Amino acid sequence: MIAAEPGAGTTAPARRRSRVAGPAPLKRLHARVEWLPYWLLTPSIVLIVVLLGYPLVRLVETSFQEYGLFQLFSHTTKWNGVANYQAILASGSFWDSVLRTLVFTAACVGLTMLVGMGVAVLLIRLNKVVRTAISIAMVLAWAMPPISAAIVWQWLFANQWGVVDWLLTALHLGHLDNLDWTGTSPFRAFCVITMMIVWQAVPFVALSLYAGLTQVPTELYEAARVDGASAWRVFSKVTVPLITPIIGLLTILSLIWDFNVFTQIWVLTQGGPNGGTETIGVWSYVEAFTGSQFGLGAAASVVAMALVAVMSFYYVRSLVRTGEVR
Amino acid sequence: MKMRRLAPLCAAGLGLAGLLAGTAPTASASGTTLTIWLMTGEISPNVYNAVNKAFEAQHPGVKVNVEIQQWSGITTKIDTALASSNPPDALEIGNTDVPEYAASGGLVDLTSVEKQVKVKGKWFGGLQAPAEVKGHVYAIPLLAGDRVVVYNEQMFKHAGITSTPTTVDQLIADGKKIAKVFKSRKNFSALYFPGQYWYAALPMIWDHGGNIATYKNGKWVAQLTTKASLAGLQEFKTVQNTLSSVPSRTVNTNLPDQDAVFAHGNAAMIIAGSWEPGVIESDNKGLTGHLGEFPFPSYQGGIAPVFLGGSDIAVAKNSPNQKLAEDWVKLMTNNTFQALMYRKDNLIPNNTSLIGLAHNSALMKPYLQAAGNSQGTPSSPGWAIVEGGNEITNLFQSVATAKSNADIRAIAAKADAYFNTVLNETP
Repeated sequence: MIAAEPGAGTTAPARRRSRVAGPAPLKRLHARVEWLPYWLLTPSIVLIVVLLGYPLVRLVETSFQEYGLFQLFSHTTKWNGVANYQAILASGSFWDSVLRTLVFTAACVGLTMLVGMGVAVLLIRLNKVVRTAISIAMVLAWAMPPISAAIVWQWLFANQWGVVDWLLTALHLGHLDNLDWTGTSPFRAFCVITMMIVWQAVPFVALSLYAGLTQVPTELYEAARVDGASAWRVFSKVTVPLITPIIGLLTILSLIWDFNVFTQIWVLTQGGPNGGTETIGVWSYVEAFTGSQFGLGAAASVVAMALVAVMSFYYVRSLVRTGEVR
Repeated sequence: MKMRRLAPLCAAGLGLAGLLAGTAPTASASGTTLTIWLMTGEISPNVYNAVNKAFEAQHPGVKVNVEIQQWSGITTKIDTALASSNPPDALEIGNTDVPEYAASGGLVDLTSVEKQVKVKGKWFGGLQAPAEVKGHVYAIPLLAGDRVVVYNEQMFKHAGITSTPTTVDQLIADGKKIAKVFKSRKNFSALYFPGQYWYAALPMIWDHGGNIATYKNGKWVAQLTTKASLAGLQEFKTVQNTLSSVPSRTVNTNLPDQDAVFAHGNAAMIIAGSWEPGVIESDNKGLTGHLGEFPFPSYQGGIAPVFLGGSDIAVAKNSPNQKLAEDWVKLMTNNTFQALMYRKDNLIPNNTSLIGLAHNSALMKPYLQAAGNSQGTPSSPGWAIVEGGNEITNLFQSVATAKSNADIRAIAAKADAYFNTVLNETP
């Protein structure tokens, strides 16, 4: 998916350009220019092939092998057909993790987009000083490395002497002094993880949407208001349709990111309690690296990749179409 | 994994070792250079330089280059190093990781070397057992770490306790007395015992004669549902639930950090490694000189078995200098340098013959004493999977939060099924 984006981004302007350049009379120049974009693209294509393509090919190759420490040390190759895939698809815990990942991703993406949109609309209305302050705060949250963030959240939600439990109790919401957020209930653990993911994902989404909102021509709003449209109608009938491409792109990106979340879950729960927060990423890590079953891990990654591809296919297609219409 | 748990060991104090290794030349133009990997924060330059000097005297012209490795990502680093054609010649490996590397062909068979280095005494069981796979030795015990009870002498005095407990019942009775005195402190634990702390919980199973699994007729057979093991699990639950705070049932030693819990007066006792008293004292200067240690007692009286973690040292299969590497290993693991390591670095040496050895710090004595009766984890290649996963911490957390003995039996049965599968997996 990621590999396709730079390509998609660069072909669109090229197409538009050739349309503009079409009626140009200089035929000799035209022939020379045809090759120029490709030469300019070459370095990035080479980089993409080396950095993304090669590992991807190796990943798929490994997924059809029995690849453990023995094969690693002895430099031998042992093909085992689709045995890795069979093992994964036959594993009940894998399907549990798929279901968990889907629900978790949906929750994270949905909340991120909702909150992000809310913040973006808020930013439009605020004066410059407050807007700058909020933007800086968001960029800082966004810039925080996931590991550090996860460790801070772990402390906030600790069940002994944790700030959150203290605060909830101080607010008289009950005797929550020793409420265990991450150790006993997978649901509560997921709540904490989701909050953390959304917290770090909102800044990017909010700032991108804000950038999109500033591009909506104000005449359209004025016209709608003159026609007597309510604020909600203006938002849903004017604003949203105009920034749909941005919303679509952000949704796909969030989908890919949230589907592949690993660090935060690993730091916070390691997939516990009792495997209750094992998403596909955590599942394949535990299966592949703790037992050094690299072939199995590769196969799990391929399956996860296929799932993301299927999920984002619809969005990518509609995005490309929107691009063509414009 | 035990090896990884030793990570914080004097890490700050010995940071120098890393600096030295960083600036060392990686190859010498004339003659052979032997490359040795040791872990950061353990064996100090004082000790390995002495070993190198002795080695270079034996082998003129050969240089030794000790490279100090960081803990983070070490398994991956060792995996790739052993796969390369230019690996370190000898390397320190966490004792419980040895079976996996040995079974997958990364290490040289050191059976004959082991016969030569073995001294009058015996290797500590916890180090030797995992190094031996199917009758062949693939690594030589290098250094050990174990855990004893560290207690706050002032709190003991407050509660009117004058001698340290020698049975589990006494430990519980003393703990209750202490808890009564400090009951106004929130989340106070007489003995702070995190429910996931399997290094401390497992020995209780051994104390009752049980085990995780035993090797019979070429197969690992899980043992947690035996009467002996169940008695150990029940004892763990009793001690944990009676003496440790309720929220501690679902955590490990890292969050909150048990040393901080203890240093801030929220616990009178913890079960801790030899590197922890120093951490506690630097956290709370007021406790300096007021810490005591005693080995965890057996339910029958005396000292209970202890989980011995630590490291072994092995020779890489792809090393072009195997014989030289073996000679370095022989020196490092012999009693002369083991005694030096014990005195200089406060590390427990590799064999029982050194148990009586004097030390200028009173702290080390209970640790060495406890190590005398040590056990290790099953020497199956599958153990790496166990430590990498969560089943073992889940097991003890579930027991700590179990509602009844029937629950404990069900938890043990589930764990047995897991161990029967995973320990018999081949790499």
